[in-house]
Formats: sequence, C-alpha cells, structure tokens
Amino acid sequence: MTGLHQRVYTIVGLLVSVALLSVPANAAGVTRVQQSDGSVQVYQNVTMSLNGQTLRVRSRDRKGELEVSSDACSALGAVQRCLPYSTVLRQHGQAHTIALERGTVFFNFSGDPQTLRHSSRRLGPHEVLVLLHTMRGTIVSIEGTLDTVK
Amino acid sequence: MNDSSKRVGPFLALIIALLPVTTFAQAHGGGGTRPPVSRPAPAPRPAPASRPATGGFNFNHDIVPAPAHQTVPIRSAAPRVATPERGAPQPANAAAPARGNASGRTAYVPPANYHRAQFTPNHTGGPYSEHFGGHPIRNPRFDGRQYGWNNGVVWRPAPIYWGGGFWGPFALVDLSAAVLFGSVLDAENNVYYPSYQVEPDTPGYDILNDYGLQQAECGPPGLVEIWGPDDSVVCADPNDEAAAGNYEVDPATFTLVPAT
Repeated sequence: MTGLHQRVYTIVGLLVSVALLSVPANAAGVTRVQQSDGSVQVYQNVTMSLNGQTLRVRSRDRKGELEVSSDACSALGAVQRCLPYSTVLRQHGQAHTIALERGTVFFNFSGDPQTLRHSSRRLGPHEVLVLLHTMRGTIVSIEGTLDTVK
Repeated sequence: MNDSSKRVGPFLALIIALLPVTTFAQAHGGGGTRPPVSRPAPAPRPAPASRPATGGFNFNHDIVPAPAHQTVPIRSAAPRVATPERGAPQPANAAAPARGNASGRTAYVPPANYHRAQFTPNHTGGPYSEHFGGHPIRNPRFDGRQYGWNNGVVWRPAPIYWGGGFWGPFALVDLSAAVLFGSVLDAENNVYYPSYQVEPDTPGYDILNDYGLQQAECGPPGLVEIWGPDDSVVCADPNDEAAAGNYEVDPATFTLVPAT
C-alpha cells in the first residue's frame, strides 16, 4: 500500500467517525406525546430548529417533523414566552394539521440558565420548553437545546 | 493479513462499533438509543391504536379525521363570572389590575336578545373600529420606540386565544378557565363583546399598570373601555391618565389611542 492510500483511508475513516458521532451530540431534545387513550411515547434525540417564530422538531430517524408556529411573544425577563396557534406534522410525504387547543412555548435565548416565573423549572442556555394541548386531548411536551436558530 | 489490512482494520472496527448507536436506533421509530416507551393507562380504556411501524412521530389520534357525525369537542362550559364590589378600596398595589371576588353581587350580563360578537381576527375596536383617530396618550413608562416595551420583539396576536393572547393565554375553544368580567354592548347590532379578567405577566396586565388603571367589570357607564387585538375589550376605572371613553391599544408603541 502506498503512502497516499494510507492517508486516504485515514481521512475517510476519521470523516465517517466524526459524521456518525456528530448527530446524536447535537440532537439532545426530548419529545413526549401522551395521547388521550393514555399511551405515552417518548422520542429521544430530536433535533430542534427555530426560524422566526416557527419551531421545527425532527425525529431522530428524520422521518417525522413537527412544526409549531407561535405568536404573542413577550419577554419575561430573559425568557421569551410565546403562544402556539398552529401545529403541522410532516411525515411519510404528507402534512397533517393537528388542531391545537392551547399551549405555551418558552425560549431562553441567553447564555445563562433562567428560572421560569412562578415555577422552579429552569431553562438552560438556548433551551426551549414547549407544552401543547391538542383538540383531541393529546398532551405534548418538547424540551431541549436549539440546534439551529435563523 | 497484509500491511494495509492492519492499518484499515481499526477504522472499520470503530465504524462498526458506532453503527448500532445511530442506524439501528432508527429502526425503532426514532427513539434514540431506546425505542419510545409505551405505557398503557392503568384504568380500562379503549385499546390504544397501534403505533405505525414506519417511524416518525405517532399522533394517530390527532391526524385521523373525525367521523362525519362527530365534531371536534369544543367545551362551551360557561366561564366563571367575577362579581366585584365596585367602589371597594383599592389593594395595596393600586397600580395592579383588581381580581374579582365572590361578593354575591349580580354581574353585568347582556340582554337575552343580544348575541355574542363573532370572532374577527385582525380587527379591533368592535363598533368603534373607525373612530380611533385621537392623539395617543403617551405611555408613562416607555418612550414610544417600536416594541421597545417587548425588548424589540414584534408582538402579533396568536389567533386561537382571546385577544390574541394579549390579556392572557385564554383559549377560544375553552374559556371556562377565564373569569368573565362583564361585557360591552353594541346596541345598534344587538351584539355584545365579553370581557375577561386580565392575567398577570401579560402585555395587557402591564399596559394597565403602566397607565395606573384598575380593571373594572365592563357594563356600567363611565368606564375606560380598552379595545385590544381581535376585538377583545377590557374596562377600567378612569384616572388622571385616561378619562372615561373608548381607547384602542397600539401594540407597537404600547400606548392607548382614544376614539374621537
């Protein structure tokens, strides 16, 4: 084997290793879905991106994406609280609107941990907390650190 | 084994060792290192619908259309009604909007032949919508810079909440958690606009505080009537900052604009 081949194998090996390791390291979000029949699903390592006031949560297998649109954002100290009004589930080539009853979205855009008002709950730097109640009685919580903000 | 195999071997071993963490986990529907936990409810219930085995998120109850004879349940329970004592002493924090009490007084209720005003998104002022041309009353706490009161973040109403969420996170489909606080009548069209008690830590609560206004039950004459987003309205006792009459909230400057 030539020196050139050795270097190519080394670089390819390192790139593959880095690629495999990087996805779970960034995607630290957790989504919990409790449906009205009592069933609970917990999705680990979801990725979260924020574009304007729209939060996109993608499942670990990248097959499902939940899009939560919010408005009525107001500052509570360093925490921003918004009210979600629309939720769309995109997966398997289809988009499903999930009728939303109410919910709350908290963002901590600061670099310091923040405690939510009237609560002992703390949000870490760049962390997001979403609570949703759908019209069909499903309760959704999403929490974790934002992977990308546009 | 030749020389090149010995050099490539460690990398292949590393790659194979990492594969179960990513690729294999995805086969369980995106649950990460563990498949999603599914715990049935302890009480006997209808059997949960099976999870789709194709990955992504499971919202099977929410994405299945309702049968033709079944509509989405909208709880229309009557909201709690506040019955405040008008003229009661102000609380120690006089700037804070009052909360109602259960004094037993009759609340102001609209006449039976009046209908609730239809929800009209992006409309404000109810029957006075064309009349808010007065000079804005300067907010005593802010300089009028656009959204300076909100750290520069643009405030827009969220359409599934009463008043767009300006006065509190009151879901339009279930206002039973909100406290009804009188209503404003539109005698010309025989409609009424219900009002609810303002929640603390909301823009609506803050703007009342800024002007030193005390929220009052809508209904009697001689009140400050403040029209917010999506035809929402709250009332307050007049003070030195705002005389009795109709006002519109300008969310950008956080000011009250009087009707002319």
